Amino acid sequence: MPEQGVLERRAAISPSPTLAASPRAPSALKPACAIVGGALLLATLPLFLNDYWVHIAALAGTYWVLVSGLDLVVGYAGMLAVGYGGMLAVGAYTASVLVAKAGIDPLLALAACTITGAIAGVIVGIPGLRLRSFYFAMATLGFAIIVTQVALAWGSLTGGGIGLAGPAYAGPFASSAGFYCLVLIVDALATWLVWNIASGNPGRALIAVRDAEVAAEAVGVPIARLKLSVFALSGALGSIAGGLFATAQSYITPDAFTLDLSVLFFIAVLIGGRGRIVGPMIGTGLLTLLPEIAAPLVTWSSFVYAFLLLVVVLVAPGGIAELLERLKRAPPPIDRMAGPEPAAMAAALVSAAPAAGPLVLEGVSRAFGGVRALDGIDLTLAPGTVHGLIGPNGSGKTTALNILSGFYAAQSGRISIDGADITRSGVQARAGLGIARTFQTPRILGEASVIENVMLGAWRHAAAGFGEVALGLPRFRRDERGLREQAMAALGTVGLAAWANARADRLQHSEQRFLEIARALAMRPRFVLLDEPAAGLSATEIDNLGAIIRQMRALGLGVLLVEHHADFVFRISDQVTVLATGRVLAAGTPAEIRAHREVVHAYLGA
Amino acid sequence: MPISGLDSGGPEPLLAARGIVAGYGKLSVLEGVDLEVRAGEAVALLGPNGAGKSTLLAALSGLIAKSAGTVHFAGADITRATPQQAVRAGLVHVLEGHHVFGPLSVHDNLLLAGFNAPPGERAARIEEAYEAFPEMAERRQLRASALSGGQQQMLVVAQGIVRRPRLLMLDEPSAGLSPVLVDRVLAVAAAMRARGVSILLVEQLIEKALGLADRVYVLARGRIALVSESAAALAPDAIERAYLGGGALEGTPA
Repeated sequence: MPEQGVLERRAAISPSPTLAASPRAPSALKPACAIVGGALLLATLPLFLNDYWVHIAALAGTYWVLVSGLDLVVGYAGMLAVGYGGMLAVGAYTASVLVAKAGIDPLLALAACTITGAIAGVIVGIPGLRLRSFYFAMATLGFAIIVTQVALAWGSLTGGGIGLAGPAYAGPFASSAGFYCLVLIVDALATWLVWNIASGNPGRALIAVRDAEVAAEAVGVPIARLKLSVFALSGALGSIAGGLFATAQSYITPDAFTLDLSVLFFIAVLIGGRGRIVGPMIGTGLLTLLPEIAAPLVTWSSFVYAFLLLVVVLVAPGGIAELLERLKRAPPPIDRMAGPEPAAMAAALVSAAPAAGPLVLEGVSRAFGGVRALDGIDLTLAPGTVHGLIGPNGSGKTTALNILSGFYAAQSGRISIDGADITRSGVQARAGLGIARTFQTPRILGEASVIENVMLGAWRHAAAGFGEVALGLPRFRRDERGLREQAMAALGTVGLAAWANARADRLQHSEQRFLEIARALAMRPRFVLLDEPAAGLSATEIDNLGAIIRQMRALGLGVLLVEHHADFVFRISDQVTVLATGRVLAAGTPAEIRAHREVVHAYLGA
Repeated sequence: MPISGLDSGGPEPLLAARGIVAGYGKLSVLEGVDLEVRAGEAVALLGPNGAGKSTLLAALSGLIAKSAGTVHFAGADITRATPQQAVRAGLVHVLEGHHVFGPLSVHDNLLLAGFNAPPGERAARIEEAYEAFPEMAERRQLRASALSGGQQQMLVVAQGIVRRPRLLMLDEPSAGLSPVLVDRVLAVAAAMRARGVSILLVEQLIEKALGLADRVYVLARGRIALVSESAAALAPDAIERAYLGGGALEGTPA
């Protein structure tokens, strides 16, 4: 197939109208209206409540500023950041010290909290790049304890155990109702920032880091940078909450920042429901109010508080958010696998140019412990071809795929693409070069929607950076529209368009395999590495898969097909390589391999 | 409590499911399924993906709740039994996908599979599994997560052997296995049947499944679309018709 023909065909095909009209396209206006409307509604509370309850409401709003950021860390990224009371302390002391010792305007001091908070967030985040689950939780608890100990010891600045007065606002924010309104304004801003992050590329990538980290890596998400950005944002929000907290309490000592408070923030996210925003918001309000409701019972108050908490957990085991969703969730469509439309693939790939040269392994070896998984293999994957890779179980097929996609480093030998050496480049760089892959066990973000799973694949085609996304700038809106259209085209290609808005874990195993292929297409790849895509597929589904792979070839992609359905591999491949115990046993056309005596003996059976 | 022991060739089947209705939330997958497995026979359960095969196995082994229907196993009503009770009764379900204990060694995985075995018998059962799959014996100290996908599938089937079932339900055991290995796994299943173990096999490789099975069920769209008393006498196009006749959405290939 001549190169020019391929390019022309891609340019000629634009998304069909049915695909372009993607369901439930996000609008910037709707959440903004909801946030402003909600804040205005809440602003009427002081008309009905006395000063004490306005104070409690302001406290709940203050906590939400922190919890909204923590939600990104705990709920979305799934990291057990327990010690965020430390952020509150950082902000409270930043604001109080700046006002009391330097005489800075309280509002400016509040703004300055973002800087100390972002720094503190990054400090907490750095161990989070390496430490897993409970070890990270312990590190964050350590952070919370260190902050209060420093506050206690640094008496000249913080007043030590005696403490110091929190900043007092002048003008409209001086009264308790006025301060409450200031809190609401900050709440609205925090919710807006967090909602933008959560609904955009970073939110999808965070969920991927939580539920399928290797999938996030494979599509080229810079995980460390993303995590640090989120920690900086959540730290800044936590610190601003601290600045407000100091005013709400009017006087702060290190004793105010108890571990109970840290635990409260953490639980607010958990009972709210991870990966959601409204749930944790309600959770924060609930956790602030419950002790007040229980307080009149004096000695019984702790018991009642704990009991009410238990009731919440039992009624909504998946969090408040899931409870809300259960009320409105419609059953998914019954018609499964509407059949793929390979013709839509060109729209999914947009205008990515096919690779000019092949992806090549030369003499590549890799051992694990003492086991030589690969022992000097050569393999050439040319653009516009399908290359079958077969062999007995444990012969090194998946290892070869992992080396091509950068998950494993080659211990010797050379890997090149289009002549350029890429032996030392990592997963993210390989994704950037247009190498996409699927996994033997599908790596799906089960709690995200099907289309969000595909949009994750388009990560590297988004133009907007983290800051632009947080602020909801136009480039982010354009990205979202474009990625969604492209993702719908990819879903149509594999026959899952009807499932776009369903939760991905509602798909059955075979459909999840096609979902992974759609995600790979959304990367606009030049090479696609498929790891046993036909495992568990019915005969009809295998035919569908074949049509999709043929279309990939027609559009100039190089396809590596690791597979055990030998007939399928021989039918569809241009070249076949057979591995056995880490070496190339045979390589050639399907007809040559089928007739190869050793292959028949070792692999195909009689 | 009914007395067991009706399973040795008597008129009562080892497993009898009647009118099974089950699903996930509001999504109903099985709409009244009857299925029997007699002692010592191998039954193939075929059907397009999405027909409800895995759901049926899960409903039988108690992994998901049934909203209607009954399940009798070895003469006892196990409709409301927990998965643990089903396993103790000898109904062993080998799940689809590589469900191994990744951080544990191959040997520890097999020891865990023998959790319910009498301590004196455990070692012998594990040796039996190693005999069927020497690859596992060679790797007994290796962590299961370090095995290749196909080897993990081997380990899963080996665990099924160690659990010493009366009825072994295998969900797509061939997925991810090389053709040679598929034949071996099915040979292991055949050997177990020769010793009196009943087999219920869900499989996409229809011909391989028919090679093992005595009887065949085809499930399509949550209903039994075809029951054949003789796998050998079954015409291939009859299965195809059942796949489509059940209304399953297996469109014509593009």
